[in-house]
Amino acid sequence: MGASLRHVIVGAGTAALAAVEAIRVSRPADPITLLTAEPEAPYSPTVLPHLLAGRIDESRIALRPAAFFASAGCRLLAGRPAVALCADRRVLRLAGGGEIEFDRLLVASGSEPILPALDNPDAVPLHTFTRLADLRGLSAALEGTSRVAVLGAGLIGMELADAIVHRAPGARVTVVEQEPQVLPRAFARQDAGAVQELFESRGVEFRLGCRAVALGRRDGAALVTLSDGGSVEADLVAACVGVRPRLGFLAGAGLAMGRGLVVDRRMATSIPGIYAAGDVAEGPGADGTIGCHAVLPTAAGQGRVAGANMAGRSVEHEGWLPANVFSFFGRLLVSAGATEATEGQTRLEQASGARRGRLVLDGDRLVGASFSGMPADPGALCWLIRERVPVRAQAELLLARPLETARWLCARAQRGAA
Amino acid sequence: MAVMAPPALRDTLCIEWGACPPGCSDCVEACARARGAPRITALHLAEVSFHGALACGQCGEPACRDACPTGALVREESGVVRLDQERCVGCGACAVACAWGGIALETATGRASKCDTCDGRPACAAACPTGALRWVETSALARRFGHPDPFTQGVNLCPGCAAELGFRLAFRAIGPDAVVFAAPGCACMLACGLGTAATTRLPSVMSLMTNVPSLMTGVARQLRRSGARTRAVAFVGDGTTADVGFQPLSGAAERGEPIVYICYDNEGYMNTGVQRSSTTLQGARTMTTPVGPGQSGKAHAGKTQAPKDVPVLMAMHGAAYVATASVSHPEDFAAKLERALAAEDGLAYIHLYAPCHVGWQAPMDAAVEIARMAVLTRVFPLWEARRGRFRMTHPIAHPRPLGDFAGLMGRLRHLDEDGLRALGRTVEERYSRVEALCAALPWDEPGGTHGR
Repeated sequence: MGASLRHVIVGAGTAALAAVEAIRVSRPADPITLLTAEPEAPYSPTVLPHLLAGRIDESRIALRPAAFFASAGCRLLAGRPAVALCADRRVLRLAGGGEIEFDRLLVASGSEPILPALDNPDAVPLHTFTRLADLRGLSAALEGTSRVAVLGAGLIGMELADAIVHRAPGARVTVVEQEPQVLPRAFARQDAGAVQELFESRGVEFRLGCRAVALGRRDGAALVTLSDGGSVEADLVAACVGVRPRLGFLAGAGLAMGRGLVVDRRMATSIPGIYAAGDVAEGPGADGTIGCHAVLPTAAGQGRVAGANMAGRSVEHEGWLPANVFSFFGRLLVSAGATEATEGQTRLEQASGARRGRLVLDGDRLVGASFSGMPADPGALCWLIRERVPVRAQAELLLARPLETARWLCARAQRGAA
Repeated sequence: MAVMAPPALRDTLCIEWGACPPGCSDCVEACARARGAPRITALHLAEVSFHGALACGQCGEPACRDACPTGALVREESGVVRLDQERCVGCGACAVACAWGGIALETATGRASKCDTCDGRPACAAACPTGALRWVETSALARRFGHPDPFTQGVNLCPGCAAELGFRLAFRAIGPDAVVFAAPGCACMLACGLGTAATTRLPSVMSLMTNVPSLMTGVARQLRRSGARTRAVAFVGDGTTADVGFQPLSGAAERGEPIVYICYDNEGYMNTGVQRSSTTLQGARTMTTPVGPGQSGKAHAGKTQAPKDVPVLMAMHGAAYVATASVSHPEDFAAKLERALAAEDGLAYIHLYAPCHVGWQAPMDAAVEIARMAVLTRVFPLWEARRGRFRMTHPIAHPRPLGDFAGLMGRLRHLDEDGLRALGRTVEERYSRVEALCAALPWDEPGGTHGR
């Protein structure tokens, strides 16, 4: 098995924990240390809107039981963020002083919110929504509040709006989005329009195609000035305009960086022995596109691959694939792969009432699929896209009955049948 | 977390793919009655003539668990991947991660749901009208092979050897209270090792090819005389059994010596460079049954004779117990080893099908699949006989085309349609001979049932 290796992991989220388990597959005794910035037991920011909506209790969000870290033989240093990396000495410097040496390092430090560029940004408190501490602040501020402005109609913004309406049905929520649709990039415009209508039926207002440019105060309330000249008055303003990899501590460390840490299919960075996984990793997608893909199954898969390689095995990641599942007000939306057809590709659509389906085909094979208002299996659709399974002959059936047909196509191919 | 634990065999829900009656949703309804919302999907796609069912396969490394943001999915010691719905927030990450149709987001509750096998008593399997959906107690199989592995560290046979697998299975079922007899051949390396290096933990005797049952007779009689329960077990090849050493075997069967004789049949002399034996399949290419033009200009087409059916010959001795078995059917093999050990009043003979991927010209991982296909194409019928009374243990009502077997190996690749047809006639003859014996001399087991 070779000499013991000291593994250090920055982060303790989905990617980090998948890496721990992958390391342990072949290296039961290597020391593993996880560093987190937050004092809480490791959790996923995905749960925040659900906590705010009251769908789940804070006692039920730990990613692993408390006993996990001891039984996996790893040390969790919670609330001890890394502040600098000295790659040539193989040392990480920690907040509050102290250093930790490593033989293998995994950077899985997740995302941090992007703040919108606003005039007069300090006029009113601007809430962000990516940490448990943010949630507590927001939750307290929501008490006795009736008007909320949400900047950004991406996933986090929409989930926040959904959570506020769920929690306080009388609240007046206005969502501002610079793109002409909600959930841009995740869903095609028609599907997004249907989601928007659902939200509007619950009293949520949208200001699309414009962005917030300034903050101010009027009559004790916040005033958000918009790029189209309009404005939104609110008691609380939340910024959900996007996230970016949390990589500040790596400034000057010498690692190749684009938007995130540049990695190959083994999740290896430009410096041997240093890996990245999850939101921070800028790596190849299933179609070869290079980018960051901050989605849970991708983080888990990348973490597993990084851990296996840290342990001395040689494993490649299959590449991330855009995939989204949203369930808003009882309506299920599923998308996988491309949302729009490019040149030479075919788009097939079917809609009846609230049931909509769309396939994007490239020759014989599926490159994108989305469904709303009907049962669909995103994992099966992803697999068909990833494995280039020919689906053309069953395209009509797939549109009409996506769940059964996609599962049948997958299972048939997985069993090696023609 | 279990670290580097050996893989365990788990009980499992087994769904025969695409074997459901059209329109049937008894499993879905039973699941809904037992568990609220159904966790099994019936797939009825009449447009493509497909009718099947799908449920979670309880992955060993579940992608759904790794993707879950609340720790709501846990893989338990029992092997069940369990969802705690109280922790589920309905984010759908599990459904994106799973490519097997095993978990779904329910729109009604906004939460995921998946099969947990009803903790080993699945309501769906009980409700299935056709047996397409079954609960398979794989752990029971593990218990049948429950003795420690017979090997020390390191076995020096070819990787992927089916004889090694057969030896391992045999002595995990028989246990350590045995003396193993070997003769020159691949498996003497298993039984006796090479030079001073032992391979097995069992006491072993290296015999000649010509006298294995004779040596065993003496040892078995002395063991019995001394009151020991220790069994004399031979693990030798088809060359020793069918050709070189058949006479003493026939004699020991006729005399009723209380020995267990396992012949692993790889259809040739493999350790000396792949020469034909009398069990080599008709048409097969070996070093001594070549294919192509010979020196005299005569065209060779592999072995021209049909294989000698040694197990039927042994059964016709009226031996206490005779069976065929295959490395591809361990459950069947285990049951037959148990009956062989129980037959203390005479000779027990097991003819174990153990393809040699080297000699048969197949990939290293092919042996078990070849063996499985031999059973499914009727090339190697699985049956047993007690005192000359027969029964099939794995009847093949609808055989797969012979090409599914022949295509797995190089030694039959030269067979054209005529060659395959000729082989097919031999295969059918051997299968129907055993069928006829089963009908004419049926298995006789008062009050007992077959414990497969």
